[in-house]
Formats: sequence, structure tokens, C-alpha cells
Amino acid sequence: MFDFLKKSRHQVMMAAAGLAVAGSLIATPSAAQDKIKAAVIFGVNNPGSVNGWDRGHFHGAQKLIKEYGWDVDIAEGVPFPQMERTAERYGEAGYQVVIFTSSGQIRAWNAVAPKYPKTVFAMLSTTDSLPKSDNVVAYAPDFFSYGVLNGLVAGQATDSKKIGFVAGLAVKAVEDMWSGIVEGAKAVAPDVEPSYAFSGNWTDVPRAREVTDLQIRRGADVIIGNAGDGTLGILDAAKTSKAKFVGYATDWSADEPGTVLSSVLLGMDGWYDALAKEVASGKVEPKINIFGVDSFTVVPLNEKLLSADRIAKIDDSIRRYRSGELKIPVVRHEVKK
Amino acid sequence: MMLDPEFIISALRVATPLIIVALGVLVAELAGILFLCVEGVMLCGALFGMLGAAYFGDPWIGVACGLAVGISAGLLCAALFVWVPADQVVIGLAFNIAALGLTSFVFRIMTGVVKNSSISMAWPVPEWAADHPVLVFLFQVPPLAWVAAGLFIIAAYLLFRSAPGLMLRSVGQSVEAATSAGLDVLRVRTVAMAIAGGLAGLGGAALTVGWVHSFSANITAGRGFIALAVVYFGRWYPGWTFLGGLLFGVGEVLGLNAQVLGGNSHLYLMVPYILTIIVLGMTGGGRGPREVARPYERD
Repeated sequence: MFDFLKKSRHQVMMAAAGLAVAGSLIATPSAAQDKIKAAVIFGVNNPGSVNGWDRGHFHGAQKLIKEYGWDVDIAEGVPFPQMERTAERYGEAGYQVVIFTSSGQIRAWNAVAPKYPKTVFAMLSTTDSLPKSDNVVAYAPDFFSYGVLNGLVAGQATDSKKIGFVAGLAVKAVEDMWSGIVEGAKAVAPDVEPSYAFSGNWTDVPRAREVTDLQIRRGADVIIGNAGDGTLGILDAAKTSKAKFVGYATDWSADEPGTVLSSVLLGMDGWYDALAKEVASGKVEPKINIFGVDSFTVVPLNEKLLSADRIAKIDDSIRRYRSGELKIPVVRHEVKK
Repeated sequence: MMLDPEFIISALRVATPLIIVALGVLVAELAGILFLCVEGVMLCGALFGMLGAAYFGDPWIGVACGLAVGISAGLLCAALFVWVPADQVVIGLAFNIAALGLTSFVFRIMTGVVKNSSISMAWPVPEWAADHPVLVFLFQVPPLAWVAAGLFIIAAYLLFRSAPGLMLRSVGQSVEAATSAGLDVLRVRTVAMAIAGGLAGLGGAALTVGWVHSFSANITAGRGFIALAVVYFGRWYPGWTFLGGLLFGVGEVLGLNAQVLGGNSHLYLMVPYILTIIVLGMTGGGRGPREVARPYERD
């Protein structure tokens, strides 16, 4: 009896496997035709490992796979000299969309896009200009208004009247963000003194930690960190010195719940949504789409670190800035490069 | 500024991994082995130290893990450099690249574990000491900086005042003389590499567990090579190597301080690296152990 059961179970399994194979043979070609073949290019390794810019992009790429059914290849750890060749290979292989994730990749974007007109080359980072080609599109945040939100939070959360901004390198996006931080803080707390420092790259955790430690020793009690992987060091220095930390791009609260005051989310998923919809409509226009203050989210402030009154004040200033009631002029503050 | 206790603590934090790793390089070089793979061994110690600290919830166990992984890596290097014996430059460079790949791969798998592992090693200042600035300062010194200082005292004694130290140095100076004196060159070098690897792994753990409480790919960022330069700076003497490590720590922190105080950040950030070049230039004429990088084959 048991032999019979074993035999019949074996036969059923064989039949099911046969059906599955036959089904996949029938289904695969049409499914493959429907799927958009895309590639996302990262300069860093393991982009999902650390909160911030690259994890935001990594989540965006996952969204394309899970929600839009795209077939996405992720190229990570691509050094700058190899960037152009990597993008070219995707163009040659007939990928429909190639996504660049950093403004450091603009040169490759400019060089490769005109060569492969059937592929859409999208820059999901800050850029001032587009390649001379019709198959390009850019989605970029307004880093000034992003900085303003950070400045509104930090400016009103500081007790020492000093806030510190630690970044990897003085690129344009960082300079815009710094300008926003200064103007945002000034608008709500004119006596607050913001200062900046650079760790010199986007990967050196120890150096970012020591730079932050210096900022804290000079009196800063609220730290805004944007140094790539180095932000781990910024967060650790803030934790050790009991300073408050405002997270960059993605939600940092789970990393150090007792130190993270809030995070200002860039809403990078929205850029990927916009790209997916534009590609689906078949009307990709060569245009720089700017995502402004409405696309950013301030994670609810940590009630363990600030009083309810101050949280209410900060929330109110954010609301007034979003509605246009609180006007903050766009003023550029240069950083020493 | 340099007499500011916070500045000194910061310099000690930066210098501690360098000093420990430099001690490992010193031991290897005195035994006649070019420890070029120190960067890779340090990186392995940094990762596995962090994983150990996170997994067991105790930073000291993490440090022990870094040490153990370092010893294993040192023995692997010994198998290649001493027993095969392969070219120390080629294998050293290959080992560093392999270690970068391995640690990045393991870190990717273990990211979730490493993320929530920021356990501090710092000793809290007890109440009875809180009113005494000197005692407060001593408690603020990173625990592993005390370990580094202790290791150097032991190493200085063992290397230059004991029979095993003499054996190790004679193997590094002349294998012919050492062999004719009845020394087993392969065994001495194997032990030296185990110690050197252990110290490099410990230095890596000092970086992640003792300092930044996290790991990221290539977190050592050339610090193993700087430790190599520190040994050259110290002309293969423990005391000078210790001072060289401190000097590099001060140089890096000085660069960061200057940046915050104003001026061009990139120029200041070059300070430790310029220091490395100057030091290597200055010590170009220094005479190291004669057998360094020369493969030895037993007749």
C-alpha cells in the first residue's frame, strides 16, 4: 500500500513538474517580452547595506522589480573609469532603461546616451544639464529646500545654539543642502551657528567619526550627516557624545533609536515611480524633473529627545514652509573646496 | 590645541590600531618577512572582530575574534611565504585583494548582524574619580590604547632582551648564520607570522570594535600600509615605531582640526599621507633586517 502511495506520489510529482516545465516554456517568451529590461549602476559596493542615498536607490530598484515587474540588473562597485564602458555594455545588450545613481556619473551619461537611441538613460541625481539626445531624462531633488527642512529641525532642536553638518565631499548637491540648512536654521533661530566639515570621501567611517567628534567638541549638539558609508561614523560619534542626529535620505531611527532625532526622507521611491510610469507611457521626454519640498518627508521627531512643545514648534515651521507661509529665500552659501 | 585632553584622546583613538598593527609588521619584518598582506589581515580582523562583538554582545570577545582570525590569516601567510615559499610581494598584494573581496562578501551576508552592534568599550568614569581631571582623562583613554602600550613594552623586552627575540632577529638578519647556529628558520618564521597576523587582526578589531563600532567595505582604507610606513619610520625599533604610530595619529587629527578651524579641507586631509611620504623619504637610507622579502628554502 505504501509502495503504491510512494509510486503514485512520484507520478503526481513528475506530472506536476512536467506541467510546470511546459507552462514555463509557453509562458516565458511572452513574460520576457512584457518585462522591461533595466540596469541600475552604483559606484559603491553593497548599496543596500548602509542607510542614506545608496540604500534609497537600492530600494527604488527593488520597487521596479516588485511593483512594476521590471527585470533589473544591478551593477555595483563600478569605478569611475569603468562607468562609461559599463553603461555602453547595457546599451549594446539592448537594455531598455539604464539608470545612473550619482552625479559623479554624469560624464558617462553624456557620452553613452547619444550612442544608443533605443535605450532610455536616466539620471536619478542632481544635474544642471542633459546630454544632447532624446532618450534621456533626469529626476533630481531640490537640495536647497531639502536642506531647509534639515535646518528647521536642527535649528530648533539645538540647546547649545550650534549645529554641525558633516558631509563626504563638497559636491554641488552638498553645497545646495548646506545653503538650505543655513537659511532654514536662520529663519527660525537667528542666533544659531551652523558649521560644516568634510570627511574627504564617502567611505571612510573612522575619519567621518573624528570630524564629527570635532564638531561636537566645538559645541554642536545636533548633527546632520551626509557622508555615504561614513555616516555610520557620524552616527556613532553623535551617540557617544549624546548629541542628536538628523538622518539623511532614508529613515535612520532603527539604527540608533536613542540618538536619531529624525530623518528627512528624500522620497527616492517617487523618482522610480515617475520613471516607471514615464517609460510605461512610452513618452520619455528629455527633461530634468525636480522633486521639491512636497516630495520630502520629515520622520516624526523622537519624543525621547525633545519636549512636546519644541516638537510642535518644529512641526509648525515645517508646515508653514511647505504651505509657503514661511518664506525662505534661496541664498547660496559657498563651501571651501 | 595639542595639549587639549580631547585632542589627545582623539589622537590616541586614531593611533591605537596603527600602533598595534605596526607592532605586527615589526615582528614579521624582524623575522625577515615582508608583511605586505598586513592590510588584508587587518581588514579580516576588523570584520570578524565586529561580527564577534555583535554575535556575543561583548566587545572583548569581538577583540578576541579579531585576534584569532588574525592568527589564522598569519598562519596562512606563513604557509605561503615560509613553507612554499612564494614571492612575498605578489602573494601579499593578492592576499589584500582577496581579503577585500572576502570581507565585502561576508559583510553582505551578515549586514543585519553588524548593523545593530554598536557596543562601546569605553570605561565609565567612576564617581570617586569624577572630580580629578587627570583621573577622568585616564579613564577616557581608549582601553585598547592601554593594551597597545602594554604590548609594546612586552614586545620591546622580548625582541631585544630575551633569547626568543634574539632568535627571531637573527633569522631576519642572516638565515645562513641562524641555520649554522642550529635554529629552525621555518619554525621561527611561522611563529613570527602567527604573532604578526594576530596583532594585525587585533589592530583591525581595534578599528571597528574599539573605535567606530561598525564595519563597511574596505574600512581599513590603507591603514595597514600606513602601519608599514610607521615601522620604516621607527627604523625597526619598538620605541620609535610606537612614537611613529602616535605621530601619525596626531597628524591625522591635526589635519581634521585644522579643517574645522578653517582653510582648505582637502589640503588638510592630505596631511597624514604627506607625512607618510616624508617619513618614507627620510628613512630611505635606514637599514632594515637583511633577509626581508627573500624566500628561504631549506637545503
